[in-house]
Amino acid sequence: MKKADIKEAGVKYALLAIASVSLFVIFFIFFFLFKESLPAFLKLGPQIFSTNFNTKYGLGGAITGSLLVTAGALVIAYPFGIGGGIFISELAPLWLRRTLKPIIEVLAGVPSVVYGLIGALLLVPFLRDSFDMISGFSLLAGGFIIGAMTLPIIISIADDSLKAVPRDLREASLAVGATKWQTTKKVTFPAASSGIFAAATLGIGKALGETMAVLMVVSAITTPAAPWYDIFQSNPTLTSLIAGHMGEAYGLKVNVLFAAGVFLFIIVAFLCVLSEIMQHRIEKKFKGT
Amino acid sequence: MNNQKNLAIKKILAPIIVLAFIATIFTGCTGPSVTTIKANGSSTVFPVANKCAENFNKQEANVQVEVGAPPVGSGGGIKLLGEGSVQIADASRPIKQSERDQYPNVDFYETSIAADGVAIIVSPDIYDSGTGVTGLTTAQVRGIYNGTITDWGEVGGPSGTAININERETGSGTRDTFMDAIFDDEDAETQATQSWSSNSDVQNAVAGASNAIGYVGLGYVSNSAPDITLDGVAATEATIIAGTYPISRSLYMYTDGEPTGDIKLFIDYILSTEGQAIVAEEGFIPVQ
Repeated sequence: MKKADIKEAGVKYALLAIASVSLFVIFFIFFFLFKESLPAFLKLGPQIFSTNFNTKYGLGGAITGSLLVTAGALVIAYPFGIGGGIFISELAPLWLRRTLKPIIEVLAGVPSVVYGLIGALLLVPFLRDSFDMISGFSLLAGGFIIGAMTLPIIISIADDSLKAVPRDLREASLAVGATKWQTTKKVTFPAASSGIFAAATLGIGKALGETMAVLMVVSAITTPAAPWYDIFQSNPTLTSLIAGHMGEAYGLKVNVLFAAGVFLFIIVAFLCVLSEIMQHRIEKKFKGT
Repeated sequence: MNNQKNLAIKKILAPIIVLAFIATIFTGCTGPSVTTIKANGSSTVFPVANKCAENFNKQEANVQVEVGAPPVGSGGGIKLLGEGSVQIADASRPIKQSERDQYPNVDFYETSIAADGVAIIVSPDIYDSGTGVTGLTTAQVRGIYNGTITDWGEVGGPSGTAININERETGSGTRDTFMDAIFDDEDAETQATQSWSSNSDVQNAVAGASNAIGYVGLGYVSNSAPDITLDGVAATEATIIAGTYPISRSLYMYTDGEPTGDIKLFIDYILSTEGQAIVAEEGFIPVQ
């Protein structure tokens, strides 16, 4: 008896130690990020929001760039992703679901460099010819590629969440005379909403943090586009700034790049909280209390 | 009976697997007296440094040179040398005083390993087009890069075609050399459409477009993106050595203090006939 107790306590504390290590690592990362970026915020003050990075170390251009690219990516990834997830889980015949699901999961695992390569070689010339752009390297290309990259993940997670809804719910709905689409829209989808919002949050995080593909289809430019909302031009993003300049930066510039990391963190955290709030609203609406 | 068999297999197999794991952990340990020298920096110097390192590593058993990939750029290499993460910094421009000041404990010693020029390249369609742009003046290049000239028609190319301007990122030795020669100011602002972090990215971007201009180290000029004359002078070995090509430069390797011991072995290799043959092979100009 005592031996079993000791073993159980041992396992419990070993797992506690491992979990603590991972929590510690995460907190250490946040702490380090904020600590290293503090000199930038203190020395530059509001200048950090200016659009000139080269001489004024302003991140304003990069912030708008990141937001625009993410918005573009999510405009593609959300409707097609959630729609695709609903189709595969609710509407597709079994043989189609069996073929599509593995393909989509493979696509979700393809490294971002590959998407970047496809973007640079195929998408950029195509955009250049279709929209008569100067070069085709643009935030639009970035939005397309990151949207394509985030799509398989959202489809996959949305499908998994929908499939996880218990059959009783669907069958009960159909039994009272609702059509398949009415069931999906009013019963299954709200029931799976927490999973779908998790997928949405993951999509935001992935799109915002994408570096390699952005560097390949938007380039490492530091001067912002004029005007700022022109998605047919190249523009810096927070990730391309960090990746492009960390190598040769020293002194205040390093702190500014860490500040870019802090901005990324803040934007992701804000969007995650927003997503959580919306999810609670929907759950409240459809589940009662 | 089966259970006994399984138990026996487990008793033999388990120790073997454990020993195999332990053995693989120790494969990282190299024998005594093998020193590793790390180099990193300019993407222009990278092909030379890499090839020389490969050959050098084959010849030398006790010294191995590791060239960092992807290269972090001249500025990045000097920074790594200042911090002590590498022993050799490749640079396609001389070190700046501000960089020397940043690392007062490091005595940056300069060794010139090759001569190079920064060639201006254009897309094949621009080069071969009806009127054809086979050469530009410094003033025209400056006008293009600062945005005053926006149409290829203004410099002799197809009119009605916007100019797709490619440059290198800040911190690039190639960029600093180009900006110094064309703008007389390394930190001038440009109206470039794209910035890239390596010579090969610029070359790909210009070759893959129909309206692009860019600048690369001499070793990166190819038929897919032909180079043009600048002020009437083509970028060739002869003009660069003579100094008549406006954008000439040396390629350097920086070390902490004069190279000694193993580092000296590698630098001597690069300066030897074999090393300089590699320099020529990669499209650069051997040190005279």
